[in-house]
Amino acid sequence: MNTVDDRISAALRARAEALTEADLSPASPPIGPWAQAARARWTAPLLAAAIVGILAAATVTAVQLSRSDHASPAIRPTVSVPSAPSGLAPAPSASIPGPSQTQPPPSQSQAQPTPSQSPSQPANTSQTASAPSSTAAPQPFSLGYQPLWPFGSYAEAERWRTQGGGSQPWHLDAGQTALNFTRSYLGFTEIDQLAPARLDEQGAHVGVGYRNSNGQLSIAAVLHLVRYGNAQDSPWEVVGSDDTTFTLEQPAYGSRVRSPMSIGGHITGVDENIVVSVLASQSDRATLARVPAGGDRSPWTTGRVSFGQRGVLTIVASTGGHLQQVERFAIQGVHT
Amino acid sequence: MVRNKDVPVQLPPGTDADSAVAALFQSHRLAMVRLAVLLVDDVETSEDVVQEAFAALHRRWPALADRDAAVGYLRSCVLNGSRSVLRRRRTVRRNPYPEAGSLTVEGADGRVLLAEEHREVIAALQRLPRRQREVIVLRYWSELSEAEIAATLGISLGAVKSNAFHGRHAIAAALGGAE
Repeated sequence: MNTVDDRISAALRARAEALTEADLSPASPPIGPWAQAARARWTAPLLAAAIVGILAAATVTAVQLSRSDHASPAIRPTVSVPSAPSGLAPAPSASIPGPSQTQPPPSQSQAQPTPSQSPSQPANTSQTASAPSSTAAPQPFSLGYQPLWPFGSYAEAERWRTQGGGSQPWHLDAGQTALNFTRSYLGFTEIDQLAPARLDEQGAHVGVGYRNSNGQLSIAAVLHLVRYGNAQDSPWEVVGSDDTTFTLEQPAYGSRVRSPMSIGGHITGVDENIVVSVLASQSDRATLARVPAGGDRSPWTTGRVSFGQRGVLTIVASTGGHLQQVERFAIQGVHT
Repeated sequence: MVRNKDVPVQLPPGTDADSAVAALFQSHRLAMVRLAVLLVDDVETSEDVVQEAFAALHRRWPALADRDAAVGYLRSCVLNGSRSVLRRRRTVRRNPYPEAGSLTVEGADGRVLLAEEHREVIAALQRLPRRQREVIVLRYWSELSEAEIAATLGISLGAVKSNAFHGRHAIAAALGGAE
């Protein structure tokens, strides 16, 4: 054996043989009735999964009902700051926190990205069949969050609502909006599943994901959406992501950035390869960095990276490669 | 020194499942837990994986054609169980390994720090893709032949060679290119 072989063998031996009989928990061989009971151990998880499925179906139904009658006051942002021109969003009141692990944007006074990019695939519109209704001139409205997609401003959202003539009815469906954002805007086409949405006073929190090789739903991200307007048929807008084990924390949500900037967060995982991109619109995007990472809530950072995009920017960090190219992602809304 | 190669187990013909599994449990539990620890790096989880492996062997025993292959079957169950654990961990986004800088193992006298030279190797092993990691562990710890590794993992001999080459090369590179 040469040096490398010796070192590998020695290290594995040291790691394994540090474990002795005395370290093991007392255990009996799984024989007799125990062995049969071992199979029954799967019963509880299966029952739990069934219950979760039923609850999920009930939640989805509730979301659909809330959309179909276009009356969901409980999920509307309650902030209404007068005299805010479209695209300008003063800081929201303290009662309206930003997306998880983010802060509400300080101010937005920059050009917005081109709105209403049509999804590359037709959205499921069966749940949102009714056309938007025409209403009077837009009332002052502040979103309270960084609008990321599909509308760049309240005026654009109102234009769709009042003049859209029922086109692209997926705007009324938070789930389809989240999925179209993921697949069409971000370009993560492997992600094609929706988890049940959670609704609260801050909006809708929609999990998007994929089926793994076992057929189980894996959540890639939980997107935060709010209604862009106070009308009953105001469209949904993606404003951020609720990050847990893979976070994008720097720069802060809604902050003003300039090139070069450092992008970072925390991650729990192994063998991760984080790809960081920035999008100003569907066609104006750039990959800024690739960062190997791993650990338990380990910090990750790109270091200072340069970018040329302007306006409202969606920073995207994604990781994957174990099961598919993109298995998790997080987004952050900022502006230049 | 026999440390992790298959220890021959003499089972009289006609041995029933309870007796066979009890004997194998007595003789091979520690070796299997050690194998699992190298893959999932968590003693408690490793014990669960091994317990499930013995339970699977017990269920399979009446239909096991070659009972001399029981240890190989156990090893395959441990590999599969460890793989499932890692997959679930990815799903729930937990880290299967402590950070390399704080890698410790549970010893009889408490937490024992691995020697620095070993930590470097273990850290490099943890960064390998799953298949390469499995091949390296089976080759260098279980001391299996390439054919045995292929049979255990259900992959071709060429895949074993390729994964062993790339895994070893990656570890060597992580160690500063030492050959």
